[in-house]
Amino acid sequence: MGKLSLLVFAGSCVISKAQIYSMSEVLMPDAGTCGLTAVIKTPKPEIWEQAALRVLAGCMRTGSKTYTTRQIDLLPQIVSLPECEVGSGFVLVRLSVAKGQVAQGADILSALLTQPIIDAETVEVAVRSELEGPQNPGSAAWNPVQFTNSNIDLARVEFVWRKYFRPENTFLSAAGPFAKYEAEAAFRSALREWPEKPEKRVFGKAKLEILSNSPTSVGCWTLGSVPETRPQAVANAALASIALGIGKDTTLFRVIREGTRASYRQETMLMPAQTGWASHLGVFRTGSMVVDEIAKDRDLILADIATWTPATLARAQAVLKEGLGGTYPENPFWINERTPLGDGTAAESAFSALNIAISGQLLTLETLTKLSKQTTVEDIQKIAKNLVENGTLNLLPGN
Amino acid sequence: MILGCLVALFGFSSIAVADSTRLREVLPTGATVFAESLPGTKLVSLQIIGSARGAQDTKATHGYRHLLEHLMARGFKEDSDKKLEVEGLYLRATTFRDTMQFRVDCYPSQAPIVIAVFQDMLAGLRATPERILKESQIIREEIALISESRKQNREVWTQAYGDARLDPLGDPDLIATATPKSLADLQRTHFCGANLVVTVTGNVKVDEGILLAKRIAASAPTYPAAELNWMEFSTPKAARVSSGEMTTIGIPVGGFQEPKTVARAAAAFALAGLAQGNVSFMPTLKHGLVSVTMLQNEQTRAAFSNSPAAALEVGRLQLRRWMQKQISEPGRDGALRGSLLSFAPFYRPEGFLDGVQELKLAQFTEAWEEFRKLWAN
Ligand SMILES: [Zn+2]
Repeated sequence: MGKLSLLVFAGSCVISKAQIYSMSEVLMPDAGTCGLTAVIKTPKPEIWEQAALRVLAGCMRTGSKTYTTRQIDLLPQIVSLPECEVGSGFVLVRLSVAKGQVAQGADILSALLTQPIIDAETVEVAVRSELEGPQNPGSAAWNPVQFTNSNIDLARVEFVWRKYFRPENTFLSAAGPFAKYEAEAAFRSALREWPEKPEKRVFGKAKLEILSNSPTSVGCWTLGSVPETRPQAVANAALASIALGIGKDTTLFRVIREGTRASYRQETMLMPAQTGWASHLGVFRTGSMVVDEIAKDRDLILADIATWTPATLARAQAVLKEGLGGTYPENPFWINERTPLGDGTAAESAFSALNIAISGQLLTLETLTKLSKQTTVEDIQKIAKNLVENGTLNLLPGN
Repeated sequence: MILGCLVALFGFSSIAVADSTRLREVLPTGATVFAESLPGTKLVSLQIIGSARGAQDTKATHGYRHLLEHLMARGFKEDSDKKLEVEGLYLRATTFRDTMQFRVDCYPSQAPIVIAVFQDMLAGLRATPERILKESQIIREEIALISESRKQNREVWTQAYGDARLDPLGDPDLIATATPKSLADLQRTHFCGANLVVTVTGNVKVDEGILLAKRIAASAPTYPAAELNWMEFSTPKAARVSSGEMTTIGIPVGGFQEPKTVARAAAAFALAGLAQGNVSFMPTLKHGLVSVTMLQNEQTRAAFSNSPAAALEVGRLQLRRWMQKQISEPGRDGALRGSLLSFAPFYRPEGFLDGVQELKLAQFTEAWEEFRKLWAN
């Protein structure tokens, strides 16, 4: 056994580096399920590698050589089926199992990482679904990179799997009602042989298209900011995101939906980026999108942010707390453009694994909720203002 | 009219039907209140369900109900969301073909806040011509956003029922023609006592839940309806819609608990399970539709090559799982049981599950073959 360096955090978390992969545990004694997550870092992938990783995730959705997804679906211990998602600089795989079933969950997850089904037929199906591209303006807005050819073949997919699915890139996390070190031990005994490193080979670039139009009549404009790394800044960004655009008593609802131009969908979110969580804002509507109009909308949004009061902050704090596993069905955190972080143990395990992978620090949702109470209206106004004033604008007109 | 009879039967006396964890009561106004205590839950879900009986969309009013939902959700004082969100609460409002449902899940101590919001929503309607125009524009944007599978679902219903079972999203041009009076009348019909079901489910004792539900139901508009009836239709037909690699097939069904409905639902769930498709199935009194959306690929072809006996096992498992998921969580449980009660007092998830258990291979095979032929078309 390798050396174990332990860090006990907030009384309920354990992080260890068993040999070379990272493992953290978030003990949640009252939870009814266990969430298990693996984040595989994919630092600076080439463009074709990014396309191949998406295809790999598609293959992994069909299961592993030990457990196909159909077989997993029939297991009574499974609470939610494995999800495989490609984000900015990582692949995330997670599932949740019933209380007491950490060993079973770790075995399924381990098999997915080290024995995915990568064969010609599975690759072909996954490629075809990638080529269809984003079907809705939402995913097109947040991820306008579309791959337009199918030169992503079996060899390329296997190459990226061997290249990135290495213990040193792997950040495991478990959250749930288990004993300290139980999940760590479960993973240690479940983990199979890692794939051999690939031989050096030269592959051609994937062809890709940066979408310049939405796939439907609904267009959108989005703003994105640089990521926040410090835990307090992440908490503040989450609150700013809620005050701006989660729910109805929000800036975007007042200014955009109730304003002069009709729009049904306006949203804000935080997504993992290279070093932390980046804030995003999006407005969706039909009809022409003129840059001058967007500039006016941005001014109106800024004017509304200036009217925020302690009541705005209190509402955001309540929505954040409840959105992470209570009475509110959403929270600002997303894994990628199509998958919300969610709530409960699946969210907690994904959040802690992502934080260690992207910023090297353990931050749990529980800590985040505590930090969200130590802030001021001015702090969250500053973050919101920065997103609206300095965020990168992306415009995707409707067809 | 089956429902006409029920209203007469339950009209002017209070009838309580209880088992250990559930209680249903019909109030003198005709409203049904229902409470269920769900062990191990921390939240309680409060819901109002208005039956569309006598209030269904017609070709001339297509989408008025959807507009009504948008306006009611704002509340008579137009502050529903403000009051709820500051408490971390969320109002879900949904319009289906046969019901309109409002739901808030809260901690037991927050129930009074939700009750006040629901009472305000039922108290009347704040509708001005300007607001109607604005909401019609917003609904136009909402419709433009619907997914391809949702579009196929809408199209399958149209093929099956023509103009008789109109899509609840509506027609934005017609929605803009609604008047404040037409909407106020619609609200009174849709949520009058005889059409109203209030459910309180989850972390609550049944007798307390019933009291909370009664406080909400007391705000229902009185409506001197002579008789509220469902529209009658001619015979529907099976339907199939394709675009790109995605195809939706739908087969009309009758009442929720009829053996044929159970068989067709099981066949659709089996297909969805085997081919990773999506099922759409809303319980109805009659004139329903079970549809499944799948991709034209090897997996779907392989799904159809299963024997009916093997498919029946998958269908049973998937249906049971789906139903179990619905009835073990406060919000889903209230939504399902409330909509079932809006059709008939004897409609229960357990009745449907019994039907799933008793389903014969011959009945299932017939349904399975119907879907297979429809897919092969
Ligand atoms: Zn709507």
